[in-house]
Amino acid sequence: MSRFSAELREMADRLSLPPSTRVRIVRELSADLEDLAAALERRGIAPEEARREAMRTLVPSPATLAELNACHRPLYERLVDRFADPVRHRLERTLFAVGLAALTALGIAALSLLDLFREPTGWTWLLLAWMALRSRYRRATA
Amino acid sequence: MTEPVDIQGLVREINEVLIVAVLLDGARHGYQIALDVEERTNGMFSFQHGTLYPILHRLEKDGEIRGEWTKADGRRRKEYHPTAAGRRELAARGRRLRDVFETLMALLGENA
Repeated sequence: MSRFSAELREMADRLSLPPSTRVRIVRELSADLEDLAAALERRGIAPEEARREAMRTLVPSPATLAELNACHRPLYERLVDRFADPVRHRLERTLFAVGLAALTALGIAALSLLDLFREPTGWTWLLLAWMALRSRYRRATA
Repeated sequence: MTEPVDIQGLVREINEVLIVAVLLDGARHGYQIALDVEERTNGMFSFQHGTLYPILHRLEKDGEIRGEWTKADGRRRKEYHPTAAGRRELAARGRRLRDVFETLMALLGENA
């Protein structure tokens, strides 16, 4: 357990970054804090003063945290943030519609390539027979 | 006519020069960079409130320094090395800063 745990936890909570990036930053800072405090103690500074000095030097202020957040922002967020909200929403809807259309087209192309309807397998006949029997039963019980 | 100076950019460039210049003497961890900058500039420059990290990480992303994780005493530490691109960029920044300060000193003339 690091003597800087509380400060590190508070800092980690204020980093709005993916967990893996956050862990890397906290790990680097944690080791540096311990090492800087130890180096200051070796120079004759009292442990508590060394701890305070290490924190003053290395623990990021809110402004520095904002810079860290900006520096490590994922590519998608950086791309999307270039657009104002209404433009971004329109763009997302358009991309969704285009993606859905592309998937549908791909599905139809795949089905036609399989020749599913021209050369039905035994399973297709079984499926059609089951559907025919079910609709006949429904009509009979209606 | 020379290019106008962006003051914010100038501050950033000075910080980047400090870091890469210190790394030319050998690979260092973040806290060592902070200590060395303060010592080698007689306290004129120092990194406070973690300002070192965004600069380090930006330089790393730009390929001017390379971060490498090492393990010692059961703890993982990140060590930074200068790259060839970093050395080139340091020389270019040095020239830009010299131009800026020479221009300022010329303006001050004998009043400096």
